Amino acid sequence: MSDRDDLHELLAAYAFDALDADDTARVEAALAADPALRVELDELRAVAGALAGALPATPAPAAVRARLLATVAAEVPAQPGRFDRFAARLAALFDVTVERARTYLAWIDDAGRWETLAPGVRLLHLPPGPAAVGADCGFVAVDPGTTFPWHHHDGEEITVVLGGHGVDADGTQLTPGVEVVLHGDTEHDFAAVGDEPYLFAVRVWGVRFDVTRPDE
Amino acid sequence: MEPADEASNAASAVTDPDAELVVAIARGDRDALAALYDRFAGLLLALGLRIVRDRREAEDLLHDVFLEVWRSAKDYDPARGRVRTWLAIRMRSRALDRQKSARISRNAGDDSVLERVAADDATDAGPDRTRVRSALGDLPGEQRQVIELAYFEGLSCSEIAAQIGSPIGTVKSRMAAAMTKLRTRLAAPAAPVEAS
Repeated sequence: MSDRDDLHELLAAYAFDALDADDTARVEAALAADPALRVELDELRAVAGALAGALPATPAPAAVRARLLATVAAEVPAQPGRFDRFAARLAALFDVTVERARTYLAWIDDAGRWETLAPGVRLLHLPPGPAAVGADCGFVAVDPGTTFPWHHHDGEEITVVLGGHGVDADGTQLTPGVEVVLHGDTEHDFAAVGDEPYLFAVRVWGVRFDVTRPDE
Repeated sequence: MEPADEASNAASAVTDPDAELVVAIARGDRDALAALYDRFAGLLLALGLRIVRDRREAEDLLHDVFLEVWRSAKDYDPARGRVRTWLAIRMRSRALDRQKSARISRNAGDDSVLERVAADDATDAGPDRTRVRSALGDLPGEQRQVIELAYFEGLSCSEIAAQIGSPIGTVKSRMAAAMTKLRTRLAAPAAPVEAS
């Protein structure tokens, strides 16, 4: 048998991952050198994949489907630039350049920048420009089903909703693009509803958590 | 099978509806993921069930494979094969990993599925299943056995040789001969059949 015939024979076994290390290395070297062989491998894999089609039909469980869709709904798909439309508003809010605001928005996808404030609540602190020095500035993410702790604002708070869906204690619906201004000496909480984290940008002049909800 | 407006849509190389679903999934389209699940979950569950032989484990694998698809849909390359092949490769690989890590003892001789399905009259089967079964049915028994042990049991050629008591060279030859026949049969110019 020629080397070439031998290789074709090995390729079938390779398509099943059924070769030992030596033969595998040989096939992979040949694949790297010969694009036609790679095409043949793809065809063999397609044939192998078709074998599954011979098995008795098994109805797909609805419970797995529901679990899958719930899992993916809880993930924020990483689409770079998806928050860029808020850059100008955040530039004004934080007194930074639009370019800087865009950089801040990109940090949302950098898990390492977030800190956990409470179960299901994460915070990303942002350095503000001169006009906002002294204010707490940052992004807040609240997981679905979580209520952000009741708190007190010493001074004015401005919230710009970026993603997800929140509901304020007073019933205000907080959806992307909504801006809420609360004056100083106010208290509230809010809950994340929907199926992805409720995400917003905030600038607040002093916030305290040493208060309790009136009905508690 | 090509869309009538293909010429006016020359910019898009994607005309396979399954591939279009995967492209949509890569964009974060959850409805597309649900549609892909509806098309292929039955096939993949059958494969997973055949390999791990435990319903609960197979369903977990099914979930994990589709989650993996959600996260890596952008890696799918239509030039390298159909979506169902891409999915089946993932399911088989996950299922064999799970089976090996669980050290479930394998006794391949007790459940020769391909032997059974090839003999089955398959009256309820879709055209695709009928075709694969008929192609398998025409293979000599010793070739079918080698394919079965390699694909569903994940055995290497040397493991198969030890199990059936034949030289490893014979195992490799049978495998190659079987694949050549299957490939010819399954590539026969019938209308390409999608998963039902």
